[in-house]
Amino acid sequence: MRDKVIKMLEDVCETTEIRDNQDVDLFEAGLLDSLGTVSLLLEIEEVFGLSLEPTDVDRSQISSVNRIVAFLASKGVSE
Amino acid sequence: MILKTVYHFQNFIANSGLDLSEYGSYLYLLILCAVLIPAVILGVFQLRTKYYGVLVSVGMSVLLIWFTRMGMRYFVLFLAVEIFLIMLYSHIRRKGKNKVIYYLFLLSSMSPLLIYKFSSLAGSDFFGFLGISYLTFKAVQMIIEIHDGAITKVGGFRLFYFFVFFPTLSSGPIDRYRRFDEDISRKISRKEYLSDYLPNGIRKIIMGLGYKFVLAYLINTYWLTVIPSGHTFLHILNYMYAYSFYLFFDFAGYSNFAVGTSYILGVKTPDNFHLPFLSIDIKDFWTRWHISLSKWFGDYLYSRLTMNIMRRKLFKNKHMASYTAQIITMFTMGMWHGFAVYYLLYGLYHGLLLVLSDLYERKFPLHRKWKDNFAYQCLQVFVTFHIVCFGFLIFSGYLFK
Repeated sequence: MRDKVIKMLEDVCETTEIRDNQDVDLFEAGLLDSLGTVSLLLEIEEVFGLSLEPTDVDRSQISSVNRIVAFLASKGVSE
Repeated sequence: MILKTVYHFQNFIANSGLDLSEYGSYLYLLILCAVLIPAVILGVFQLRTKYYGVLVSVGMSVLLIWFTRMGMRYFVLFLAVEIFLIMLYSHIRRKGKNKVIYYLFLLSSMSPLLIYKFSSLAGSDFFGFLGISYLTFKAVQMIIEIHDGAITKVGGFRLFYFFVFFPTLSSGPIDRYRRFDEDISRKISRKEYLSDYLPNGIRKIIMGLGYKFVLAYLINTYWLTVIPSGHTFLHILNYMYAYSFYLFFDFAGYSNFAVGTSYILGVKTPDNFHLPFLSIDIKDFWTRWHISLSKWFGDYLYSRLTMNIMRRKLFKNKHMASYTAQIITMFTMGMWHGFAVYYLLYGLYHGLLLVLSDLYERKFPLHRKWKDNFAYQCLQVFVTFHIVCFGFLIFSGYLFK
């Protein structure tokens, strides 16, 4: 799952630096914004089949690779 | 008997020229102090403030709406209709999702505001009452989140409190049900109340006092209202600055009062302003100005619209989807303020600004090169400030007089 998330974020944020620091706050680093969040949610829907609305997730739940992985795990995504 | 007393009181207020607008007069602040003292005592003794909060809220809405003739019967009707709709929809939704039913409830929950806005076009104030524009956001938001499955339990009492909660009654900040519900359900320890809720509440109220009663008052009295009439370039420029600062200190002052009062009642209503005149670009401005409104539009309109456009692949690239959603969102925001030409223009103006500044930041190579340079950032803040002020000049309607 982690690799899929990193791949996803590389597409959404249009950068290859995601893998290096998986705790970096993507919003603070200017890599994610509201459009980025929407794109990420759509990617999650496509790849993991988990359909989410913007108000279903809090920014703090998807602000880094590690947090996204933990969030997805809490929603029952395991692969 | 009670009605007769109210009637006399209404007449008395109307003839006396007493100002009872929310956080708008010293008389109101005096009443506010009186009702907050028991709340502080409850807080100190670690007792739940929500029952007292409901009681005071009902009393304050009578004072703010009934005694001042701001449409009490429509307020009561609004509460009854919205609470009924939300409870009913929450019940129906448990049996499954249905798009048609969802849209029907969504439209119904917006209908009081729509009726009011369209009747105001015809010059009447049918269904108008103090706070209708803000309260409608609370209702619409709930229907959407019940549909999403994010709100699963709706309690009648808590729902009622959410709507009548008096600190934010007339002009926000617009709170969210799940957040509000969590706040009123949690037990606050004495230590927490005395080290966080109370001092921060008082600090915000004092800030509100400074913003609204000192700065906004001074700007209005000695600057805004003494600008000579006649639209010369210098007068317009002068008005633009004066109005922008007045609007900020008045509204941010009101919001500080509202947030501070909420804290004392044990509710952490979200902040509405965060140094908006120091924004680095327009997108940044909308995360700092009237935050609860822009977040509402961001969450319930812009993001959902963008997602739907992208799901249907209406455009090849995601930026076009976002731009379309941005213009529609800002235009709607303008329309929410009213149907006057200058409100519509204000909405369009900000929609276009969001698009243009995004294009500039993504496509202009020099921006990428300079964006970490301090002097360049100062220039950005300066330019953004003026673009924003020009927006307020449009919004003020001054140019159309």
